[in-house]
Amino acid sequence: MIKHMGIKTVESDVLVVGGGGAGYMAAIEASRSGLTTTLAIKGCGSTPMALGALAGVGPWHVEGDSKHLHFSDTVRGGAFLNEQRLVRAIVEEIDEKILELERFGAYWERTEDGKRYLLRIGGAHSHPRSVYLEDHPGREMLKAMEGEVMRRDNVRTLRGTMVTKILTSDGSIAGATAIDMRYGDFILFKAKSIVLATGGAGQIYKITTQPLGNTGDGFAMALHAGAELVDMEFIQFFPIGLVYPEDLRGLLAAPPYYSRLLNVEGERFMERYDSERLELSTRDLVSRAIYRELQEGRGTGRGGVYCDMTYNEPGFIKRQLPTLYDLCAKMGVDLERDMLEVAPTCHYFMAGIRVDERWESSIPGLFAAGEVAGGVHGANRLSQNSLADLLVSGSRAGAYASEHARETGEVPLLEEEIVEEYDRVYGLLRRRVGGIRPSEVKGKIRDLMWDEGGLIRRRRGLRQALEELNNIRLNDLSRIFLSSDSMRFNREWVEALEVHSMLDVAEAVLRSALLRGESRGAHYREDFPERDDEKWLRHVVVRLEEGEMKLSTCPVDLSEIGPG
Amino acid sequence: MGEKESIVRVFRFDPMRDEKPRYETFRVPFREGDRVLDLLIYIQENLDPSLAFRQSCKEQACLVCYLKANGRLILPCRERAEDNMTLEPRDRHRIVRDLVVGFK
Repeated sequence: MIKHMGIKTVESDVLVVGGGGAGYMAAIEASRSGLTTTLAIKGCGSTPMALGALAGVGPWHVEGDSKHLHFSDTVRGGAFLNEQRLVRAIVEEIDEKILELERFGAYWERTEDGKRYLLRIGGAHSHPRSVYLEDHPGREMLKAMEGEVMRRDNVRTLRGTMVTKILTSDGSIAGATAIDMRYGDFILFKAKSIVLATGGAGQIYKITTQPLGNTGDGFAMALHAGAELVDMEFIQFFPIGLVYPEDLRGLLAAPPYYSRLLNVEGERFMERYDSERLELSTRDLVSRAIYRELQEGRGTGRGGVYCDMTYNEPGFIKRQLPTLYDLCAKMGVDLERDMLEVAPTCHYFMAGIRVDERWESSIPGLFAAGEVAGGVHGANRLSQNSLADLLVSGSRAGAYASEHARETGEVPLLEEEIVEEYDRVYGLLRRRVGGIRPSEVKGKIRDLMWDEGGLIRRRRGLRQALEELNNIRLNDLSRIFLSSDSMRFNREWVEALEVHSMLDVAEAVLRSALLRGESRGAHYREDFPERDDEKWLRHVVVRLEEGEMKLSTCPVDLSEIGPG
Repeated sequence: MGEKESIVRVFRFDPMRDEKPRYETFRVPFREGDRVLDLLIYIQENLDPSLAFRQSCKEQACLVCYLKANGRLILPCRERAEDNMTLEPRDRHRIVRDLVVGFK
């Protein structure tokens, strides 16, 4: 039957989903053994990625630093909720990956004589241990990896491709379905292993640093395929994001160390929240302080607080933050004279798919790497650790995915499942009358997650938000309509698909946040403001049973160090 | 949005359906400092959701959005909005739809 439906079939041993660093690394590693790999990328460009640096202890380390200190800084920063086996793998293997990237063509800044790397220190790292290149090491990495992928004949890259469903057969990976967002073709991927490297789901929040495509498709697809999600209540907010102009809303604005934060009354309000460290307090605390000022009506008209850099000596900001200075100058703001309007912005998902040391989920052959995997960073991620994570987890997932594919015979595809997905995906295009546009549904989810599922959470708010999500599922999904039934670059069609992922991720976040009756790292419950190690040194795990989300808890891996 | 108004002529073409391209004119409110991308997002969100254009990072890193404004190649995420603008795809030969051009 499917032969007559105009379905394009793409067959390879390993399918990697996602075009960020973890996806590229997985594709490079999977292709080493000579097996064929397909790299499916939803976005048409890369994400800008890290501006900071890449943490890793290697032969270049400063006196007194060690891999073990990198390990313990990370676990302490994560408030002991990290899976320690995963952290150990990252700190042990990251130095080799840093060198490998240099072999691919990335450049890290060095001392005058060229013999050593220059190292940066980041918040809560005990030593400077991060390599960098100006303010764009992420872009530098991606450029090198992209080149390396292009050199490999056995890797095929498909851009503008949105994967919609993971196909399993008898509990094993069989492939996936996708649409070509540019021309509207339906694609059937046949593969024995899949690596999900789809990043976070920042788009479920009104304000985020994450690009438009980060709607949580990977989390949702894994959940529906039968995998487990873990730590879904842990989402990091960066305190100082732009609120204006509209299309830059959420982008990282200024570093806290050159800024004073003022409310609309001109008060340096951090004096009330953390009189010692002020703006240099931890990210979660500063974020919550700004959020409170806004909730209590001391924000600007545009929903931010003022970020004042004008007190610095003339020329200083222009010299230290050239990229930001130029960007603001373009929009008519002179940082040496004018203040920015800023607010917290959703930045990173510690939450993710539950994996083992192979970065394999509970489904054989389904792997997750980078931000979409959970358990590495615990309750709070240290700066500069994300790049380290995605390099090691991408490599491990890619290597074990190819091993799994080598050891697995032909996996039959279930035709009915493919036809059903085909009908679902194209059925959306026929929805031309109704009551609500996909972007409106998205807006509702983003608003309610921002208000109740974000920086400050309470039992009542979480319950109400869950009820509202359920109302959206019951009342809005069936009323969604599109303005055009064109299959070519139809943004509303893609959004109608994305809404389903966003609902699933939002529900998992809210349910997990409701269950965790304590505050730890990025998860703050107003009704349980203290950390409770006795009861909550545990993970919350989410799985789908007969279409319903089921929550449970499991112990944390404390195999090396414990609190106290 | 508000304060000023831009008259934006936008190239529209669906090669699967239309015989030839046409231009549509939108009146878009904007403020000093808004960029061309703000205009496009405003049109898609408020005036015509079927308009096709590319965007991703919004901060001049990914370079997928570039197109022609008043005959000149620009990045909409960088260029300031003006009172009168004609927006066209960067290349007329491989149009996917409206302002979106294929890779091959």
